[in-house]
Amino acid sequence: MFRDLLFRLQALFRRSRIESEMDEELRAHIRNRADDLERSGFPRAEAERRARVEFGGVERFKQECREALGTRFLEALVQDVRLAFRMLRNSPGFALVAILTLALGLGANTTMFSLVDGILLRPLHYYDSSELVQVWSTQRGRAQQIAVSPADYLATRDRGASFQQVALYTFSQLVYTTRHKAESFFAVKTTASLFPLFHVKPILGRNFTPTEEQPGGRRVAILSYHFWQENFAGNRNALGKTITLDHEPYVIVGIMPASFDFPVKTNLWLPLVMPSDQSRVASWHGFTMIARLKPGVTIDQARADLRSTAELVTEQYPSQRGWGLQAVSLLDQVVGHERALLLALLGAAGFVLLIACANIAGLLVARGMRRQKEIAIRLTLGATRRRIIRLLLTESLLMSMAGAALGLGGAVWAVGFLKHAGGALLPRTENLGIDPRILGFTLFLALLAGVLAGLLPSLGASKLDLNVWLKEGVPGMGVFGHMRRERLRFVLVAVEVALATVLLVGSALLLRSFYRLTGGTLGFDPHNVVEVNIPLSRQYKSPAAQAMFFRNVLERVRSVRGVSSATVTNVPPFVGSMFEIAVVRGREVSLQVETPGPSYFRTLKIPVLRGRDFGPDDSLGTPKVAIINQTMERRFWPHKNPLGQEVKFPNKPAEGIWRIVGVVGDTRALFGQPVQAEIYLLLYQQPSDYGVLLVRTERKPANLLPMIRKAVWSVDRSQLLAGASTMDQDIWSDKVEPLFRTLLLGAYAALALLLALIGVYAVAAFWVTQRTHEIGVRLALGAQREDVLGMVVRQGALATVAGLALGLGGAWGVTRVLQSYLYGIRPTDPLSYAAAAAAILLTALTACYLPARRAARLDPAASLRYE
Amino acid sequence: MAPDTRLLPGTLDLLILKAVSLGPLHGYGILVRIGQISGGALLIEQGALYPALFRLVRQGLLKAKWGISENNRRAKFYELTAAGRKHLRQEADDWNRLAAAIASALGTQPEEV
Repeated sequence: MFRDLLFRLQALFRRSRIESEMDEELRAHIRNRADDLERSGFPRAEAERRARVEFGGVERFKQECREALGTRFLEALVQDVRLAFRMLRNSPGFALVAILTLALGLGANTTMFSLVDGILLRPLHYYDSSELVQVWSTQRGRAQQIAVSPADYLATRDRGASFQQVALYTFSQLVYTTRHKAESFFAVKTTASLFPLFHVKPILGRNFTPTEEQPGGRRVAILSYHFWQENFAGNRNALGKTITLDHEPYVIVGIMPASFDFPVKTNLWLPLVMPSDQSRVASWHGFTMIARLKPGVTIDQARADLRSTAELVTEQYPSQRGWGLQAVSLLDQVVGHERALLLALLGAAGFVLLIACANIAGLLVARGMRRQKEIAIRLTLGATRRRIIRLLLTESLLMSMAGAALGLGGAVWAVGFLKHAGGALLPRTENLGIDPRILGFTLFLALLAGVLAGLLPSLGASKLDLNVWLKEGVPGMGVFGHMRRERLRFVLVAVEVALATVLLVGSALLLRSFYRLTGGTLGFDPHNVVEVNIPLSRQYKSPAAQAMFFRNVLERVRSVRGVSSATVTNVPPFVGSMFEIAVVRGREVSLQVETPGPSYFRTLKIPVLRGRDFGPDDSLGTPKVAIINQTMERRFWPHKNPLGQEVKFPNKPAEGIWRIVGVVGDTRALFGQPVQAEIYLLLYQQPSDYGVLLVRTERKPANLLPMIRKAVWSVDRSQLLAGASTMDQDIWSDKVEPLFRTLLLGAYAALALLLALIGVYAVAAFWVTQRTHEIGVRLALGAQREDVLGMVVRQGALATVAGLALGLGGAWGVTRVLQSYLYGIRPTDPLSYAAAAAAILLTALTACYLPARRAARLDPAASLRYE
Repeated sequence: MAPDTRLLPGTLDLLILKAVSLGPLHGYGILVRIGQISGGALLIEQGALYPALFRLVRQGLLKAKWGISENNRRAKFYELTAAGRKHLRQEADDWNRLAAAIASALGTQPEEV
């Protein structure tokens, strides 16, 4: 088989040599025969003539020889490709539209597939990552995953039935200070088992020792490679040095390899010290558990095993009744939330490609009608039907390959862009790239698209009825052929419109959801507010010293030119929120608590609705005052005056009662979260070693930052500042993820709409071209131009409406995959459906209008000469 | 020139292989040799020889190379490959068996059945 193919190929490539040899051989035969005949007595000329006659038709035998060589199939292929190439070159407009359409469809798919492949399909880059699971707590009646407690970890580790290794970690925000800077970030506090669990060893130094995990153990740290490079320039004698974290010295005992930064871009790992307080061991659900399955143990077995582990914990700690344990594979954990989105987007890309194929098929059908004459000639000259189909298929495949090349270029760019821009929004973007797998995928899709787009039209074209054509003397397929083709185009356009409708409904849903999420008032004015984080140094230990420091800083900052007001708080909105247990009207409730300084409401432009703001007389020594938001007023004092009421905080170390002195407007803490009952306590009456300076500036805040820093340092030159941002940035970062989703699906929907527009336009335009003569007759016989206009628009409108109906129905079934990304609306939101339908109708109308206008403006005299 | 004895399908290949088995020959030589060994009884349409030759080369039963003929002209000579030799032996056996069977069948008298 292989040898045969090789032979055929050789024969193909050495064709000219083989041809000339064949010639020579046959001529030699005839000459030999002539020699013989001459010897038997014929004159030379007669002998040669006889020899030729005896031999028979030279050309026929040559052709048989070629067939015997097996080069015909490949020869025909080369010929087809050449021919297809020439035909495309002869109609560059058609070729360009078709190739661009396919490039869009294929590029969209390649991009999405490389995302799905890199993020969902590839195994994680850890040693034998299929064995890794994350363990969560569950609580009866709550759907979400809850962090585990130390007791859960200890029980799981000690039972050891399904797991080779178990590790526990938690994040801890701390401030890293050097002589030059202060930096605030999350470090990972972990059990020493984390590193052997992942089969990694420090490249320098060692892991934590058991004594370092005990309360009161030595303070040590293991650095990540990039943190070591950044802060110690990769110097080996960093080992054994100390670094200052939260004002305490930690000894560096190890450096991890560059490939390991679990869980996410970790700077450093600290030993996790288990709480010694027995009451908190089981109730403190603040940890993440990672485990490695024993070889051969399935995740379902592990889940069953965890159920009995959870029972043991409940037995030991009755307070844990109703709690359970659950395992999720680490890959699912990392990509879980994005999975549905990525698959939905892959589906969207598939839709775009189908639309592109339908468009090309439509164009090819139209072209087939115009090319009947050419095909008829080929058929009369003896081309077989199969050969014609193959020729047309070759043409569409040639286009799809060109489209694939172009689309691939686009995909390389798009994937690069997403890798760069989506880094914070998508997990595992470091995996993204175009590799041979993805090239294979694109090639496969291109083949599929070429066959899909080319097969239908070429089947139709090859059915040309020669008799009719020859008899009528005009290229025509007869009435029936015509109708069948128009029906085919109608169906193609309807399908395109339906697919585009589904995508449009999906993006309309995401867009509406995005506005629901981010629309509405914030309750404060975030523009031109700069934030500077100040982790107070150790000298400000007492609340009095802290209050004094902030008072002085605010005074200096306010005097900076361009600053209109300044304040300080512990956690600004859109950075985070704190909740504390409080006693209000005799009931224990959870309240959102923020502790700002004076001028807070003025600086953020939050209206004081009743009572008063914090004043200059409120301080550490005076009675404690609080201000509540409207939601809290409505919730606890719906018909009464809250001013003068008391709130207690049983968990606060400084025992005391706060008296409400004012009510302010509601503010949002994060998008997607309902406004909570919130209480503001004056920072000066609260000990706090961390403050965020909020400065409202008259113009762009960035320019003032150096002046603001200088003002702080004029109070205390040694005080370090830990990073600055603006409130607008904080709000943007909370918005950008849903926005990214919306834009991504929106881009696919826009692409689909564009292609559908082209499709509908092509149908209408072609209809007009086909009927130029007919329209001319109608106009000559007195038809009104409006009638003609309506006639053409009806052509496109019918297919559009059919497709729209189909698409709206389809969307109803499909858009529920977006459920978990929607906020405040249902997947069946009528407004989104209406908006999508309106967009489709408007687009289709526009697409029909241009050809319709051309038809209506036809000059009857000129169009009658058209044939 | 209508042949007196038409060739049975498939026999041309066999005849070519047999002709070549006696020594390398060019196309015309094969034709002449078949005429000789069949005592002039089997005649072949001359042009039809060549497609058969090309096919046998492709099947790997013959190999061809260019050489100089007895009248000092460049000519393409065909000879048997090892596979061709084996094929010829096999086919010849099959043919003889078939021919014997047919001959005996045709030689049967009515009363012998």
